[in-house]
Amino acid sequence: MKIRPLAIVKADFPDDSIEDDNDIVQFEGRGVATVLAEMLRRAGYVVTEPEHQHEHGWDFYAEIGKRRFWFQVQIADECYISSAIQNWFSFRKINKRAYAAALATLNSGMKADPRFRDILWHSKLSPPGEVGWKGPVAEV
Amino acid sequence: MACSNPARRDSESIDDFMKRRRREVAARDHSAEAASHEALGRAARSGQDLHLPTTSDVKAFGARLNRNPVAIAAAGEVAQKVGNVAGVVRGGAHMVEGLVGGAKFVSRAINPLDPLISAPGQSAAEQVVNTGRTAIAQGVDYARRVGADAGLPLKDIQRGLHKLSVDLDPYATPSASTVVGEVRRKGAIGANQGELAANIASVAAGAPEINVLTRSGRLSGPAEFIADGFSPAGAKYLAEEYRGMGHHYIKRSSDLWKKLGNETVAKAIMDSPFNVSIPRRMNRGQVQRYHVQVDEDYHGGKLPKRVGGERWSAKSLGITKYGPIGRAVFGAPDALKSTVGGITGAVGGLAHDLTHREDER
Repeated sequence: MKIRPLAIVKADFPDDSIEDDNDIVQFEGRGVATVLAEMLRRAGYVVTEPEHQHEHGWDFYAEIGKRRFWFQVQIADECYISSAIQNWFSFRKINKRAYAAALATLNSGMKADPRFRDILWHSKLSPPGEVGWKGPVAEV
Repeated sequence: MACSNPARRDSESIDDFMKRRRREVAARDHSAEAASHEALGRAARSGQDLHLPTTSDVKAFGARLNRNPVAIAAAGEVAQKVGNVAGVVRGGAHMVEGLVGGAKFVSRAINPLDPLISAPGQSAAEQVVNTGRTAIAQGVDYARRVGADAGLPLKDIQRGLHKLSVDLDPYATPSASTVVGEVRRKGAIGANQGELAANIASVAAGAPEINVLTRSGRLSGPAEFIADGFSPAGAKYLAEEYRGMGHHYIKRSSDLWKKLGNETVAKAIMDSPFNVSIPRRMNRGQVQRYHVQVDEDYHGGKLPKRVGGERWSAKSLGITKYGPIGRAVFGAPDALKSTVGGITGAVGGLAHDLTHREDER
């Protein structure tokens, strides 16, 4: 099983960043993170409230059973949704299956939401221009 | 036709041999003359009486003196002292030369028209890029050579130390056999010592920026970002000094923080200088690039509305991320590198990275 933990999508959300006279004091992505967190919550995950992480955008955690996952929403030219599994031995099949299920939940949730378009999944080290996968998981 | 001669080199014709001998004799006469003139000058200063009535006497005296061990040692000492002073002057001159070059480069780099008025490939911004490319290519080539010969770094260090020793230590090379040769040898060593002293003094006096300025690879101005497609206002913003949260070496997404249990302790360690690399002396644009390269979860962001609100994206700019080793080495905060040793930290970070990369294999 191969997992692509990074989704690059076009997200039609209003710019929710906050600026003072000089610089950005709160980066955008809160709206997207809140929607994604809600998708997981509806699927039975225990999800934290999204937190502001400055240049990194917004992140939150989702737990199900003994598995815990981290998600980050960052807006650059497109919306970058990064993820990571937070369990030791993440390569164990049982953990990989749980991780794949969490990402699949987000993928189907985003596909059902018209505000998300062109959803493609990548490795975190994908070179620019690499064509992504249509889903986060591939059986090999 | 070549003929046999014991003093002659094997592949040398008789004509070449004669020319070489004439050159050697002329050189010996010249050095003998120089030595005798120096001795005459010293004799005049000290009031010593030298009776050398004919040119032949002068040459003969010079030839003797030129090979006198005491004269060789004395002349060498004087030459080294003179060389020291000359070296300090040379060091200062090089510094000024570097400053002038650096200042010219800065003025070109901040000129938005520089890419338009320079020959293709010669604009300040392109030179910065090319310098970086060359450095990377040289690094990759060296890494390949190290791959072929694991002892290469040690050999290079030994070679470097030997060169340093020959350049600066008068006892690392044998004394010359003539006064003139020794004056040349110790004069050069003295000059090298003087220049080194001038450079050390400039750093001690808080002037390392002088040397930084002259290295074009460290320079970046709005022109670089205009070349990337940003507006002048956006480019100016990106060329300002970075003052952000920095890069977390062990990522905020790591399971390690959760496993530490106490959230306050975990946050204190996570945000400490041992885990956060905040690049200094780099502008915003350079930090963006660095951040993308060392952090797999960073992809870009937005510029403030006051400078146009443009987007900075690694993907659009074609910036690739370092692999696990590059991230482990270049992403380590200075405090971590200098305190617990970069290698230990890098190995830990790399091990963490590799175990977590399994998901994608």
